[in-house]
Amino acid sequence: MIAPTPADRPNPGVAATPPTSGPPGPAPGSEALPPVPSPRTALRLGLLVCPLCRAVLRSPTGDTNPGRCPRCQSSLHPRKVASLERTWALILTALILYIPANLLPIMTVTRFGRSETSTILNGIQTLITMGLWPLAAIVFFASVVVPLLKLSVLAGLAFAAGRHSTWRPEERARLYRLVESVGHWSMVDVFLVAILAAVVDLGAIAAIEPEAGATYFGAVVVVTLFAAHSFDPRLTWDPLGAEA
Amino acid sequence: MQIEPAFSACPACDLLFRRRPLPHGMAASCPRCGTTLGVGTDDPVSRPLALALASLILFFVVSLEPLLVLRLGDREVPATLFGAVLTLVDAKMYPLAFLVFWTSLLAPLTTLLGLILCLWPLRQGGTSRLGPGFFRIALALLPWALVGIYFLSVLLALFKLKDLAEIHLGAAMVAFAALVVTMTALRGSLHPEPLWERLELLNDLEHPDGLDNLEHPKRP
Repeated sequence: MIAPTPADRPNPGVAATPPTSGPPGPAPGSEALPPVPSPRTALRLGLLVCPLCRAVLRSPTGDTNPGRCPRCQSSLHPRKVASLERTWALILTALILYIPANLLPIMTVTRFGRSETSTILNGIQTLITMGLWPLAAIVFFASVVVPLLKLSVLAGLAFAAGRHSTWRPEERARLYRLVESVGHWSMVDVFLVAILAAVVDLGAIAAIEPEAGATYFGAVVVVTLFAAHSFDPRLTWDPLGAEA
Repeated sequence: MQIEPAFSACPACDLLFRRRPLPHGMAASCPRCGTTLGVGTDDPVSRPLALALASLILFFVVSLEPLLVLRLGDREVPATLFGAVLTLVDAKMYPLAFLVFWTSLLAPLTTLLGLILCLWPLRQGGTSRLGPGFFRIALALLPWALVGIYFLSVLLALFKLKDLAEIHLGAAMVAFAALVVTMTALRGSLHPEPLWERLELLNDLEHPDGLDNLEHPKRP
């Protein structure tokens, strides 16, 4: 494994050293400090980064059409294609789907012939009345907090990136990492419905049937995952030092 | 397009770095945005391969044995991973059935098989023309393998049903707990960048014009 060190100092020994742009970076020896005044990004130096294998790539002919990565065959683009447009479209889609996901029942519970439908919020209420506080907290967090938090954070990140904001990029980067890592946990409720419906199958005595709300909720989770994936975190950093 | 082996860049902020060796077990993170860039490892192949093989064996047990068993009088209803998918199919909820099938069965299984097919030849020191393709599939599907979350859901179901019926953990749950551990360890031990370098090296050996890449020594 080769570890990176900030490319503050252009190395004349490497034939492929790209032309530098902007003022010189921090003095040699200050490698621990982030080179903020003139961030040497791959894009500014005319290099592309493979989105999958992370190889740094250079077009020897200055070709405008980057094509594919020679190492892993991923298609190459300087930034994710139409990142903000896709992110906004997916955020809006998820918000629309979120309404039926919460209003429609996710399952019907039948007990001795009596049927009762249950929405996501009902389910949390039931857990609280059963005295299962920690479980209610887990489901509430995974099904209500995570999707809403994720969508609002993504909307904020996309809004800031769209305005080329240079406001608090470290915090915005941290928020993006958070949003990327917690998204999957919302699937808990979908799996819960599936496993409950599979195991409680005793006809009129006791049965649990999945309902349409679960489908909408699953769609919210998937669309939100794609929304997070379509946002390019490098857009947060691109405006920095651009004025120099 | 030509690879610049002397450089690497932060995937989250595009900051360019000059590369230098990272000692085994040390992690590097981006000084600008804090994203973890990689972890140094002396052997990027053996540990993920071992964990993928262990996970695959456990996965067969988990998918064939019941997760939960509901008991009522002398009646027993077992629920398996695949049974949960079939229940959704029976309810004509095809998109949801596919989502559950995809995240609980297809994605984990394909990821594990892809990793094993890619890493096994590397471990043997041989070449594999299909290695990069398998690795690409595995990396693309790994985020969709939601084994740990499914495990949590089964535990939640157990508590949720305690008032409704007599419910027991099935034989699969011990293997399932072990699978969550091995899959988590697998994610932690999988370092794509050195593996891509290894795969690239093997391809270059098939085409001798790439021999100047031998500065990364091949392991026995």
